Amino acid sequence: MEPVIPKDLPLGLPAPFWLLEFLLLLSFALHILFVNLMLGGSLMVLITEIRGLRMPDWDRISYEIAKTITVNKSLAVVLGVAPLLSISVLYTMQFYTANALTGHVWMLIVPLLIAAFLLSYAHKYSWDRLAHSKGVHLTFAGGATALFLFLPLIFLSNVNLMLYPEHWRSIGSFWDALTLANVLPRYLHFLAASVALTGLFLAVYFGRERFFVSLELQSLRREQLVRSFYGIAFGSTLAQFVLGPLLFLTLPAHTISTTLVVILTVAVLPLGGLAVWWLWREVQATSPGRRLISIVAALTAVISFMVYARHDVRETALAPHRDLMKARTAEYLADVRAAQDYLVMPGGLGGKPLSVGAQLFQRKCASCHALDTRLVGPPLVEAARNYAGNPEGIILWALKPGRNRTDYPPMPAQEMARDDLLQIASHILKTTGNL
Amino acid sequence: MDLPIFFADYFGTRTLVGIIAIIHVWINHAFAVGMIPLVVGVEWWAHRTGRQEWDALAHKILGVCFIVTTTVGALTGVGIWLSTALVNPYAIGSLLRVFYWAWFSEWVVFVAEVSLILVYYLTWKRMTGLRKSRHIRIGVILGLMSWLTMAIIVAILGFMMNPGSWLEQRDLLAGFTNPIYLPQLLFRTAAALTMAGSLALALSLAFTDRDSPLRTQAIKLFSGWSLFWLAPTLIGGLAYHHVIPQAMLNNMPVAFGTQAWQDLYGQLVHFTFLAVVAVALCSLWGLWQPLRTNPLVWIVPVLLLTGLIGYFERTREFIRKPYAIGYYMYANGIRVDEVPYLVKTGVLANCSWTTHRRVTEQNKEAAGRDLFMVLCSRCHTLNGINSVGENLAKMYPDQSTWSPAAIESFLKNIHGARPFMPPFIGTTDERGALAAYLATLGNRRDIPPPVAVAAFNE
Repeated sequence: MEPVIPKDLPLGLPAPFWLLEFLLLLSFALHILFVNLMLGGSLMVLITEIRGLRMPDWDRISYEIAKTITVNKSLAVVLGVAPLLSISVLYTMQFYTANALTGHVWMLIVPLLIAAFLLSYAHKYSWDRLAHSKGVHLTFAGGATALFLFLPLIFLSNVNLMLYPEHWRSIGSFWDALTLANVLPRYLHFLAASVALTGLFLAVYFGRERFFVSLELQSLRREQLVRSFYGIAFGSTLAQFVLGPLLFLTLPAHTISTTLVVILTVAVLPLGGLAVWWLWREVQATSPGRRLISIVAALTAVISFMVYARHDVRETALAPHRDLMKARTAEYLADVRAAQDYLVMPGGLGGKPLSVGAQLFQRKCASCHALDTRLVGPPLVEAARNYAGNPEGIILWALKPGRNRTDYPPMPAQEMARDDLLQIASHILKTTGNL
Repeated sequence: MDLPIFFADYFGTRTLVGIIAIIHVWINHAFAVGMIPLVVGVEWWAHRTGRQEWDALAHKILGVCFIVTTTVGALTGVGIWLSTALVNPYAIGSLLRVFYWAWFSEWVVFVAEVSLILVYYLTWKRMTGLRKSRHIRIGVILGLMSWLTMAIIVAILGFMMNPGSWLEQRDLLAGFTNPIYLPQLLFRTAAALTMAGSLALALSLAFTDRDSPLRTQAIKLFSGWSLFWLAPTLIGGLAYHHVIPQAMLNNMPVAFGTQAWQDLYGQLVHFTFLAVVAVALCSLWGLWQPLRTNPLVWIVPVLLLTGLIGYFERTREFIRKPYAIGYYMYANGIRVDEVPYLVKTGVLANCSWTTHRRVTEQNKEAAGRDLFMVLCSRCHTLNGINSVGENLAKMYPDQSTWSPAAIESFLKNIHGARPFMPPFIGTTDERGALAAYLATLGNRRDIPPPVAVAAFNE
């Protein structure tokens, strides 16, 4: 299908393109990190609390994870504002088009996130009170997790849809946007990243010796717990070696650049492989945690490259569109400038010059009064009969209208200079032959 | 014109922005800007005098504010961005291009604010003893940050009141030097502090035992607090009210004197006095009869003050009409400089998302419907709030007489008859088409309602 080429806003960017790009990527990376921890944390809370039904230690751990969500979700939201502003400035027309096409669901982000956050709070703060009604308590966690799982689809459908102007005309709703080629692979890739990062985060979080001791668990040992979190990070990072290529293969060909292929093969694959290998060693280690710095360094590099790769796909997809848009905007603005002297005012007068009274009448009265037909108000030939030779009467009426005819709406008071009103009144009386 | 149109018949798109914005302002003022100083003040006083029960009460009140601000408060803030981008993307997109750094700085302060409230609330029970004074200092900085975010936003709002500066220098400084800036900031600050007092009182009724001495003292303290800030609220409100016409006369003489605005403006003083007297009476009642109080009595001042702020927002918004950005862009997103070209070549021909590209005898009414979507639907619905149907019915009480010709002659000078309306923009054919479509709203239902998203199908 033909791509839609909108005209851009005729205002320059507030900063050089590269600087805005840099701010977008940096703030997005921070935002998505906390989103990952929020979503992954929510999943882990649910799973560990269910495990805790049999083994109380896990219930205690679940509670500790729930506490981290409170912080992570607030940071995820506040850190999300900067990338939202930056993408709106850099890709105004593409992003806003996607927003409008999925409009109603896009707005649902607000109530659904509020509901998810309130459920998380209800879950965390009712831990002791609902200790004996675990069913109800787990419903809170389940509800929040379900919402956290659904919401990324709204964002994804938007940032995906904005890349494909050639599909815009065929998209009528959020559900249509979900069917575009690689929304699902992107979503799975994101989910696996959330679980992996959360696993690593929790391995560190519960690996702190003094903190772990303060939990006073009955049988679970620190190494055992840390190893299982490393295991989760390992498994989900390994899964990325399937999900990543799947995502790559479902990318439309015109969005793939050489840079992307180089980044993925030269940087992401080997560094990711290294991270997986170190994670595996941690899973097997008797006292895990020694390779932590290497793992964090490798994954930080992988995430940075992935954030850039993601941006590269966007730029490859949209750079030609941006050029087309730029050309169309320039052409339009040239036309707009050329037309400036075509008309001074919309609905401008033209034709033979009018008297001051007639001009004022056109501006202030003609919308509601015509000479001999009923518009909003009565025809002038009818109304002016009462004021033959009495312009002052019209002025008084206009300043403070009464109501003579119940079949017409009341006339609003006209606050104008007396001189202007006199001009109008004279014009009315003249044209109706009542002067 | 260049973006698909998001349309909500019945509620109207502006109502969506309005509801989200009012909730956000209410939470920001009552639960954050006003409440943090109050909570920190109580914490400090409890620490100095060694009153544990006061410390616990302040912590509980803060807990409610923490939950409300980090859920509904934060998300309605994001919601303002999401909804304005749907409702008037051209205006918000243009403002963002110019004020990116202002909003970016505001965001930095906002990140600090959220981080601090997390630290302040979550470490309350851990930072005790010798670390208490450090905890109180965190609270003081948090209070400053909350206030600072508001102070920056008010400047951005103030800029929008000063449209001349958009065309001339596009400088945020104009927002700070606008005559309405300081009165507005004073009014908002004082109203926020007053609201916080009423709210803290309502909450302390939930957190203290009936007939306990703590409840009596809390009611007295919070009543006194509200009463104290009432005078600045009144002064700020009246000063703000006083400078509004001044700001407006400088910028938008056309709006002055329109009946609708006069009504709105005239009612402001009554509303201000009503709210202030109601809050004063409630506070005096609390001081005089602390034990005979009903939680509902304390909700009323909060609601009235929120309503008052909402009323001021509406007046402020109204002054902008018929523009979204003064002298630069009309409320429907069409720029003033585009008008001559569009009058010459037509709106439909320059749109990317309409069903029809030009008006013909056959498609007149359907093309008119497209024009309604492009030109009118940012502010008007068909059948809901502020609907064109209702407005036409006011003008032509007998629906059978709705004639395209009469409506067209109204459209021709709509900006003269209603100074808060933009002029009709488009060719004379398009004007006729819009009038033809509007006329069908009276008595014919054979034109299907517009869909939010349309593609060319000609």
